[in-house]
Amino acid sequence: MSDIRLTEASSHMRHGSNIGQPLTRRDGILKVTGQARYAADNHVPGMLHAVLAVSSVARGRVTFLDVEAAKRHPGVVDVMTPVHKPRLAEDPDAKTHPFMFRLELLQDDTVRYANQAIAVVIAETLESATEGAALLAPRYETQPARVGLDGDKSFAPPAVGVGNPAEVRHGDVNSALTDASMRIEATYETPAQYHNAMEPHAIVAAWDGDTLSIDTPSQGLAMAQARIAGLFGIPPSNIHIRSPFLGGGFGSKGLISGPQILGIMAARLVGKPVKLTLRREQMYGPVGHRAPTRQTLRVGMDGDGRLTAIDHHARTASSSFDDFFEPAADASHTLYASPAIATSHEVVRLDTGTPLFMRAPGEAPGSIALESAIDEAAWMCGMDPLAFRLKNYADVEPITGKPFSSKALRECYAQGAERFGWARRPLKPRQLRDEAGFLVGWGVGTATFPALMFAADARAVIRADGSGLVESGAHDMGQGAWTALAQIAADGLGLDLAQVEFRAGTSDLPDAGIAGGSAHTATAGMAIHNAGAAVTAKLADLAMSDERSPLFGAGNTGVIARDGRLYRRDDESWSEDYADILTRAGLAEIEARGKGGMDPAAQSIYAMHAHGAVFAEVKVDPDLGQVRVSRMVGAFAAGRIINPRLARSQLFGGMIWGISFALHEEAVMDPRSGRLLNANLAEYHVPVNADVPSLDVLTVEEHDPYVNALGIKGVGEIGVTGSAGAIANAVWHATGFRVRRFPIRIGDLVVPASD
Amino acid sequence: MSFSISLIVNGSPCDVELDDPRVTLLDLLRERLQLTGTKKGCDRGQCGACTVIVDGRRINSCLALAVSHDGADLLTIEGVATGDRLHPVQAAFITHDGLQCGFCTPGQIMSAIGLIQEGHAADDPERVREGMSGNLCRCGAYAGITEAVLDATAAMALTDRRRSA
Amino acid sequence: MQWSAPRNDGPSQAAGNTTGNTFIMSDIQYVAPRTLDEAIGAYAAAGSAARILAGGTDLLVQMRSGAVKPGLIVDIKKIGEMTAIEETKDGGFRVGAAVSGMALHDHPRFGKVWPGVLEAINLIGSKQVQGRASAGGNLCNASPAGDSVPALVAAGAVVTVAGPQGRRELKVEEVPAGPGRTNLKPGEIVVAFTLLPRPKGASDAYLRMIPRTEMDIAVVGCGVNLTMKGGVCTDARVGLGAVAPTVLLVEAAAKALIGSKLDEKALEAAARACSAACRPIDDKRGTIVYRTKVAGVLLRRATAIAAKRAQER
Repeated sequence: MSDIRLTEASSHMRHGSNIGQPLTRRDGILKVTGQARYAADNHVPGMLHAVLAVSSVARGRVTFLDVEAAKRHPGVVDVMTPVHKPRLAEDPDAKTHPFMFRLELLQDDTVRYANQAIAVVIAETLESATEGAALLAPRYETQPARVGLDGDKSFAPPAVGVGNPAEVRHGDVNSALTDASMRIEATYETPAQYHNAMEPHAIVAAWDGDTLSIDTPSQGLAMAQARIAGLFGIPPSNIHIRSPFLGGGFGSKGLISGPQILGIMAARLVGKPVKLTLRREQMYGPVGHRAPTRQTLRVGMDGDGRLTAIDHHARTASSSFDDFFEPAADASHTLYASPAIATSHEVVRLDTGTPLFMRAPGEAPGSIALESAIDEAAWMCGMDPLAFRLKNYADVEPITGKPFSSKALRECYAQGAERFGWARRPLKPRQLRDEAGFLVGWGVGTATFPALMFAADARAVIRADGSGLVESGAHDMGQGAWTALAQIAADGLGLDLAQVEFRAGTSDLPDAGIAGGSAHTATAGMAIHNAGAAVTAKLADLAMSDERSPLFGAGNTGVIARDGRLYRRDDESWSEDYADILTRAGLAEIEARGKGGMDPAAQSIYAMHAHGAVFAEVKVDPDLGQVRVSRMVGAFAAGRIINPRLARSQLFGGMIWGISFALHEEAVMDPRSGRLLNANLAEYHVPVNADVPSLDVLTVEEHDPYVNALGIKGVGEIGVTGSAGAIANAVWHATGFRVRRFPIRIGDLVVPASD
Repeated sequence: MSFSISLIVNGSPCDVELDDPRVTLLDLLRERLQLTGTKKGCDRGQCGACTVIVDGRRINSCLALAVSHDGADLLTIEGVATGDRLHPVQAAFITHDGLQCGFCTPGQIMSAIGLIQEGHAADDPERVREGMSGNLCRCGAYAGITEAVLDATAAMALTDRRRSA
Repeated sequence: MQWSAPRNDGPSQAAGNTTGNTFIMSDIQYVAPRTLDEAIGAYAAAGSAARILAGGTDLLVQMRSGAVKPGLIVDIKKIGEMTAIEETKDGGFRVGAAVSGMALHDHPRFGKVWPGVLEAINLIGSKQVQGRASAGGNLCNASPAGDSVPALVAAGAVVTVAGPQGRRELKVEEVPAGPGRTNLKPGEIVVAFTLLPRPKGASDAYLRMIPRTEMDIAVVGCGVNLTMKGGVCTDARVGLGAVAPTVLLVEAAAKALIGSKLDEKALEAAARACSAACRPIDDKRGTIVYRTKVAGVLLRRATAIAAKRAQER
């Protein structure tokens, strides 16, 4: 996008390759000066403000809205309700593909969950719209809400996650458990969690006839475009979405949400541009969450500390009207060698918004349960928890028997343990104290996340002046796409970063796929890499078939693109500048496209995962039960690291989510009303700066020729896994109390529940 | 009926006609003065994304009624750099990667400037963490933020010493 | 802010006629009087629809959530008496009710004399909130968990309130009536806190327990104010927060400390008295059992800090 002025990093030290350099963020200056424009920062001339009125009950029907009172309020322009709204071309409850979720778009007066939109007030000012929404004073016919994992009858889901089988069996778990010399059975509970990106979902929508211009944060521009096109019955090409910066997503901006569509409907209704921003408390419902889980692990061991069986069963929940089932038990598929593994899920339907992908969906809750259980098993065997993990190290993927495309987990354990000083850990709990008398504990957890690839397109151009342009509608939600993908683009073109214009963040560019599953850098990166390779190949063809080029006839040996020149592979004294090749050919530019996607052949042979080992130290006040994480070391092997500075930040962020998972965040539901009791950032705790100690991240070198040509595995989510379990295990080691309901509460460590 | 107030915003006098007493300083900046660098994360003083400096103190602009700030001197993220020259705190945030999505960043930077002015944190990481705890960062950039504040504090102290020498 | 519904107790026109800044809309008014008398006049005339704006850190949140819909906002920050910190000749302090935590923090002497009161006030919300929030607001918000209140109770602070019937003085612990309710009469405004001069060997401390390291609401808060003479405690006051509908003055705990050398027996008795005084609720942040136990733990720790400070003074 031409209106986004990115800057070259001052610390750019180039040693032949852009990839691998710890560049600072190219959007850094925009972000530290307040110039980076997020969706709600846009002002369109004539724009009105829309505010949602949301349900205060969890289940029932809206029987009355005082629309007249709202309309009488000065500044209110219109009130959109189920009986006064633009017509949609498609039923918001229709589901025509698996990535399509049902939306609440005022289709009727039904209330499916608390905080569901029941009307939209459109006014000249934000204050008027806000007051108008308050004046609607809704009345309801209320039905009892289904709350909690025992709130309804459970059933076996057809699938979990995105099409994963709900039940997987490998070997005979039951007889292995019967024959085991030692076994543990334990149940772990994880709460509902809400993404709570710092940026509330916002949209500025402007119609011009049947074309639509939108500013809204999106982790999947092309999918959002298609969804809007279907709902409004217009071609996707009529819709232009700009999402240059997301103020965090974590999955909640992966699919366009109901409130964002309501903003578009409001603009259509009043015939003027409309801005709609969710209030923080309105983010606890219509924009997804992580469902609660209750996981039972049965683990069997032989007399020698070897696992003989892992049975991992998870109970979770979806909404009453749509399906997303957190694949928590799947965490046990890949980590520990056990001759028998079974995973299964059962689910209930609750009166909540539909759960959704949230940073490490399935892996995060599954990991804290599995890592806790593995620790409990190690203790029962009288073994050091790291030694136990090494003893049960999986050299092939346990559930499939496939070899790993690469797996440097042993090195992660070794380097992380060394840095942490793990060797000095006493085996028994409650042995360490610091000088202030606090109980000190050390814990370890194994991190893992699949190396996924989706599908992406990119376009690369070399211009007659020798500069390059690369386009892919990629999404920067903080992971650093503006920087990391540009580094890949520059290498793909054989140019320095300063010579490459990289365009992203808008829907009129080639589809970069979805920014999720820690797969965006790999997927969009491969599309960009392939587009670069394709365009330099075209350029090479041009040169090699031109008698006037020094590269003429190099076809058999080939050429290398570097520093804006093509070099004969067998004799680099023969080379030619890009600009010269194009100028001689009389071309203003040359372009090519590239695709990124998984290699099904490699996937059928290899199991592909990133791995890591996280070591945590906690200090517990023995009288108050207050827990502080005092240090953490994470060692991760995640294939090739495109930008170590940004990867470190991603891994830190994941580890802090692990702290949050273990000790802080939890949505508390009122069992009677089905409303959240802590739908705000004062009471829904995420870590503050003082909760986060000095963190240490090591990236362990890993070359993986199979995941993709660039060898990228992704670092966005793996940091959450392992970390939460490491902290829970450290709390046990400090106190001797094994807490199995997360987050660990202060009271759990002072007046422990019966163990 | 409206009410006029006079402010100094980033060094420039600014007269504002308010048509509604409910307008907060935050909404005044964002929706009426088009200074959108200051962010709204919660509108309840719980996240710190809206931090600005008013009369020398950092505050949550979402908890301040504009009408009660006649005569106030405001510093927002837009007024921190001098032309193209970044403030040392801004530069340190980039160097230490004290940001990811960037949404909380303006508030973090204003808070850091306030903290350094208060003069209690100096080179103690624990006090920096405590002093920066009113600014949530969901991406988890805290490690870089703490490093950036420590680094900027040291850099600014050095500049001050040179000036006074 | 009911625009179309009739109002029972909306502000009278008189409210709009005060000097100072006045803002009138059809049904929400804002006044920023320059004198206390004007403020009382406007506030009393407006009846129960009026709200006092000091730092605004509670009021705006309540307005945002719809819990409060004021017809009149009386901004008291332009009144000199409300924002002044005065140190009396004999070493006492009079702190205006609208003085922000940061302003108090920046006072050169206050924190040296009343470190416990200061640390309590400086735990209200984040540093940004402290740039605005005042002890007066914290007291009038009447949360059982308000951080400044137990410390002010322990300090024996006296509250000056002013209303249509004139001025009167209350002990801090007499102000809260229950969660969100005070014993102030209609039209009364908290004007200032008075802290008496303190002898050599006297100091105070406030500790609270929160799950998050910062930015959190107390699960239990405990303020201890001690006077020590020759290693013996000659006077003590103990305030406990978040363990009952209002902040408590725990006289039995003070009694256990007075006359002792703060030995284990006295501390144990005082801790027990604190636990015994608790009438807490179970909520997601802390259970009854937890709060009761922790009240005693905090008493011991706050006493140790206060005693150490007293020795150094």
